[in-house]
Amino acid sequence: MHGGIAQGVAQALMEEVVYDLDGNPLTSTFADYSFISATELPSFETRFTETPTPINALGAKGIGESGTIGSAPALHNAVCDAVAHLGVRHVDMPTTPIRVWNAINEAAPGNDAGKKGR
Amino acid sequence: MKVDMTVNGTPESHDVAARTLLVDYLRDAVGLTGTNIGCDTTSCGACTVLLNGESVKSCTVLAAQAAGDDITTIEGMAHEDGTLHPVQAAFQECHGLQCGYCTPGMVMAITSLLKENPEPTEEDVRVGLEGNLCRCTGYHNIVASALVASRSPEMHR
Repeated sequence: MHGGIAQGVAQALMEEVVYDLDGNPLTSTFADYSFISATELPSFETRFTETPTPINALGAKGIGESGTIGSAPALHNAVCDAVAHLGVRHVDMPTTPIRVWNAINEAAPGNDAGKKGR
Repeated sequence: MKVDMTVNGTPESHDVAARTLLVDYLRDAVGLTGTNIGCDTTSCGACTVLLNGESVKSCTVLAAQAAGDDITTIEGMAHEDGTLHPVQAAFQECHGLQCGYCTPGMVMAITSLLKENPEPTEEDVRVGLEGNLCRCTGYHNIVASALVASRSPEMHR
């Protein structure tokens, strides 16, 4: 669960497999690919809830990486919310500093490109 | 070329190519495969060992650079009677691992960190472990292991 949360956070903020126009991978080592470390992450508080599924006899659901499913949109929505008052409607994932900066500038009053929200 | 060093207290002397990396010397010449090779580019920290008591990434140290030095690998951490080193014991207690690939490097990095800073805060540990990557755990239990180990009386002798 902890690892899933971390991976979702990383997907929202940092990690991206990038190719050039010819299809060559540009992120083939950890020198090029932003991999999240202990420094960027907080500790986690986990709680357990029991909500059995009605669609199988055991009531069992997958759990393994459910942390990933929640943490990526939570982080991404938090970033979008933080800049919403500046008129930004959308930032592509991962929300790297340059993408957020560009989104803020494009949404600035008088810049028509910002109306498309990118 | 002949490269001599002390590994986990045992003198080693092996004839290796001049370009041999310390991690390959340890794994192939000495036969200690507890030190893992992750990225080969000094990014992931899986190959971390202690060189004269200080953590280094052995994939970017030449064996020849460590000639005459004292190397400690994960195999040298437990006591002779099999009792775990406090950092290893803390990993066991806190479940500080999942797949275990980063674990030898994490144990060595934390051992070095606690030598430099015997009473670290959580933030000190998180900053100190920046060079050691883990895909499984989200670091939560690894950081907890480091903090538990820091409170072990054995680490303060």
